[in-house]
Amino acid sequence: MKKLFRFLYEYRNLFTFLVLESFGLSLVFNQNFHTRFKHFNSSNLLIGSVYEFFSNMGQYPHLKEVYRQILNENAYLKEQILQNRMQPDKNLDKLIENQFKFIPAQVINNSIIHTKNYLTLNKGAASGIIPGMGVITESGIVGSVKSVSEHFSTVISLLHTDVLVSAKLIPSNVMGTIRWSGCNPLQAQLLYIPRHLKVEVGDKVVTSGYDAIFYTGIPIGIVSHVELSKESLFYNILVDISTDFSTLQHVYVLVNSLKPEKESLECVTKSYYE
Amino acid sequence: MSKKNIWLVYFTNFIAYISLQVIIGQASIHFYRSTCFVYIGFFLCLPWYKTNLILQLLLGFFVGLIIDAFYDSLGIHAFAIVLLIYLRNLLLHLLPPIAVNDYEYAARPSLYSMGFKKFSIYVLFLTAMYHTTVFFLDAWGFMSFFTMLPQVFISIILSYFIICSFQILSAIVSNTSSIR
Repeated sequence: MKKLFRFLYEYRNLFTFLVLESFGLSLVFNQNFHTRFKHFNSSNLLIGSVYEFFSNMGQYPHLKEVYRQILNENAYLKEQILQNRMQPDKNLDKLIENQFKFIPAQVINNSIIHTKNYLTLNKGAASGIIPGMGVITESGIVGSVKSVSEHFSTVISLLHTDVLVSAKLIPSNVMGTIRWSGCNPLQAQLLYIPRHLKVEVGDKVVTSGYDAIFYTGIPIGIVSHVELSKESLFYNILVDISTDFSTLQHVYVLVNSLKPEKESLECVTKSYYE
Repeated sequence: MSKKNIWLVYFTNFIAYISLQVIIGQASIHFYRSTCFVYIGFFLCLPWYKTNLILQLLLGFFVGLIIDAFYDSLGIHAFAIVLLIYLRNLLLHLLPPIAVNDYEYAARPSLYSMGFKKFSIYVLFLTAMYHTTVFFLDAWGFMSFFTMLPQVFISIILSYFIICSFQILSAIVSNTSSIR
């Protein structure tokens, strides 16, 4: 026993090193830790405040650009209101019409360098944001909320290798799944388009709205590369992402008021058949 | 230099490095998706000879966890920085920094005590190790080695230059205030 202790004491540095390393590796690969340490990310109050401070410092040079963007968006929205007034959609239920609400928020931290990228927003549970909500900009989708604190929230970016978004091609209405491959922040893959359908370069890709996070028709990107090898079941499609993640400033968080209803209905149906 | 002063110097160094790291994380460099983790400069310049390695490993682990919280990557930086501190200890026995009187080892490695060549090897090797670990753990199972080579390479060079310039800056400051 004494020898054992002496041995342990002799190699105490090595043992501490090994213990810390194995703990670090288990933090990286064990998903349990990710749920247990869910406040240990950038939606944390302290880290959020630090990010907000630095983000506010860097904001002033961009104000002109932001002003231009907002003017453009305003014009676009006015156009839409006018169109709606010309041909009002009478079949739409009042509740469905008001299904989605927008919470404007500001991006205070953003990264594109990793294979799992996250954003931090300066609004949290106090503004009504809960995990699972979708995030968009005027040019396309951004991601979905992962965790929230009182005043900050962490968003899983579309540039995250675990994120799958239900999408459809616009002229042909074919369903597919968008996934980022981890290399190029300007392009994503469109998966599961069967080979008997026709896909062309330049087709628009938008959200399908089946996942209850986004509504139908939010732009995702434009098909830039189509490939069909002889033996594969599906197309190999690359999509140019329409959102510019490197210059993200202002985003909208989508509140879907009917999401719980839809999910509980689907859950009931599923449990009935299984 | 009194003992109190040393702690003050370390503390200011620590704050400077960490805030520099946060600013770099904010300022997005979009050249081949490169970034740099300069906060390791603080750990590269800790005292090495006759010190408590366990304490350094623990400190490194917790600082790594804090950096992880900033980057939303649980565990990756903690793992890499502990590896760096342990390897640093081994490497410094091969390339020992020499004190002013030429007979003893210097208490802590710096550009001044090691000379440019040795210091460059020391810093380049450890930053390369650190960045490769971080980027590989991050891209586990998704990317091949060659697709991320430019990103890793540019990040290493950037970190090396920033750490070296930090050293030169601190040498100038300590010369003027006669803290060495």
